[in-house]
Amino acid sequence: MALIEIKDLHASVDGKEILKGVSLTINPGEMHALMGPNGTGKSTLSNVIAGRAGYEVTSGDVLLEGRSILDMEPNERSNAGVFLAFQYPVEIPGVATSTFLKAAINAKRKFAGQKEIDAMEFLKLVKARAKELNVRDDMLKRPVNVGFSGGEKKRAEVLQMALLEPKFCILDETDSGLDIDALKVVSDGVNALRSPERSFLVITHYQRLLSYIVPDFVHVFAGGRIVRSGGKELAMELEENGYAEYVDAA
Amino acid sequence: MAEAVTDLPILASARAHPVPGGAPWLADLRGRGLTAFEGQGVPGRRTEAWKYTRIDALMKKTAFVPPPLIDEPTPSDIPCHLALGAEGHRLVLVNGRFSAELSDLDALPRSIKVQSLASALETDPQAIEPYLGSLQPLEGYPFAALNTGLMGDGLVIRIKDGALIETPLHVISVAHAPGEAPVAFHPRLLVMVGKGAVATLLESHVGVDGGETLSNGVTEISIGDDAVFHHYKVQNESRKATHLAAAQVVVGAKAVYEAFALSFGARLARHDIRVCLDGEGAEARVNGAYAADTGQHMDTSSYIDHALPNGTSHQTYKGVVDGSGRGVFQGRINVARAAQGTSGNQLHKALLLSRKAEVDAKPELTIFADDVQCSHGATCGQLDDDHMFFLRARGLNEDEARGLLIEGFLDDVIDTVSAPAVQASMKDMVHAWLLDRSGRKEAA
Repeated sequence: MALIEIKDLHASVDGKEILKGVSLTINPGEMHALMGPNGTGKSTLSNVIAGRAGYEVTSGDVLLEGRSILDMEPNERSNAGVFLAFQYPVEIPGVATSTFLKAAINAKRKFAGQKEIDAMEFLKLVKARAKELNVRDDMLKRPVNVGFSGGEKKRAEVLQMALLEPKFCILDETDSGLDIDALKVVSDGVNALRSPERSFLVITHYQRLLSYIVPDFVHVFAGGRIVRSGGKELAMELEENGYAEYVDAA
Repeated sequence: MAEAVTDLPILASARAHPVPGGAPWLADLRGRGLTAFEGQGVPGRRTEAWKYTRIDALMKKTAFVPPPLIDEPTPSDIPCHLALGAEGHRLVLVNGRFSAELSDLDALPRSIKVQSLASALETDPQAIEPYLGSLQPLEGYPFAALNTGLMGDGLVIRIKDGALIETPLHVISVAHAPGEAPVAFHPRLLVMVGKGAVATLLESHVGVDGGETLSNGVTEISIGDDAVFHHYKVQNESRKATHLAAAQVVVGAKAVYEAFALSFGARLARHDIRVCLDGEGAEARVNGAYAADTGQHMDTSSYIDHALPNGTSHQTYKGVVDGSGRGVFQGRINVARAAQGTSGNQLHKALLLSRKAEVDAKPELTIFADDVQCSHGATCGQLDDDHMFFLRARGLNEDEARGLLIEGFLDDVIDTVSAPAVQASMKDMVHAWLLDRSGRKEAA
């Protein structure tokens, strides 16, 4: 069974249609890249899937393992296995990163009918994952994303992904604001999470990220829908020719 | 215009139970206090400094009496879980009276002298005559004037020059009205910090469940040159309590005064704090946090007076207001003509959790020097939608996400507390308050 099925999805913001019939099927273990010019609705798609308020789905559906998630609250979607890595992770003063991570892990455990994570076990788990991602211990003590560099924020996102072990991950412009070293660390983190069960939708503007995170499929997104799909070679083609022909066509 | 006070129940009962004893100067001081209170009256709608905090109706209708001498709580009666959890030399006041039995003076270092005000007035009144009432003005502070008129007990704390005191002093003030009658008391704290000394004073104001109480305290603190004095207060009295507190602090040259006040309790709490930077290069960090729910009113009125050059003051207050609760912040900064090179800033941030919640913020800057950097700010808002979505996208339900953000909002300013144990205890209290709050919401 497909892990994610997006079926002829139409969505609007303030009465203006942004998604104009998106259809995409992602099977377990697949890495999909969604590429396209800015302002065509890529982030809208990720927000609609994650359940952000302010988007009205006018028709179509999004299924996770065959079940529609559109009536679910954002936390229910998260607990069911959907993870959105944000383009601009928010800074939350006063909330220590470790406190937040513990709350997120416990929310998922509660949803799965498990008991809360033991303090020692939590510490061990977080430290191990953090080390793999070059997230220093003092970052865990600091408030969520406050004073983090662009690269640290994105590594923190991948750390959350690693701890919550989602089934389906959306990476929304994860490469924005990253230098080449940070890009490599983040990509290594994502690659380490690839598995036969877990699927990814990587939204990006540039081909650059895709030389580190190699996709199985590449889709061109323009005018609120997918206008062309292909293998990883499509990314190279886009890098050379740009998006002009798709923008004109849309 | 304030309300006439002739028939005020609290005065009638004070006349019926005069405070015993006292040297002539003390009788004179008390007399001036009462006269000043009567002259000013209970502040009402037209008293600018009290226009957001109405107390006149409460004072007129409630027949407060002095606390009975019996029924002193035993240690097990003191709601310790409501007090700061940090280690400290315990100094317990029950309804404003010092309790030697409940206090722990044995381990005090020799460089601190602690005495109850009652015993200081009895044994050596001359020694405190120059200090008692020397910092607290009577005009403009009607309740401090009332305290001056009716004070009988409290604490006198003297810290010697150069003393480095590691373990904090912890004043636990217990409000307790065991009978039917509403109880009023007027504790007085006198703190003298010697030159170059470093010390910490904790204050926990707690209540034993029972009848109505009015705690009307005055604290006078003088901080010698080059000293560092940390002053952390928690107000966690019962929902039947009224908590009025005035603190007057004078900071010497290059000395530092760091204060933090955390308030959850009482139905009405007013915290008046005036800090005078009275030496060159003096510094004040005066911060706080509060939470007010339905039936609660929290007022912080601060006055930072830069009297001499190169002083710095920082103030950050944060408040969470829920239900039909109300928060008030009045912050005045005065920079005298002589106070060149002053840096003073002030910020009040309120989080409103319901449509009926209300906050009034009034900054007031009066600047007479030229070379000055001053700023003030006040914000008032709701929980951030982006923060909420981020947390919910990580699996937290709406209540959990709100709880974490509210807690973070307050913890953020508690992070300014420089004593780690106090900071941790205050964060625990915020957490407990939130759990209690969600419990109340579920019950409602």
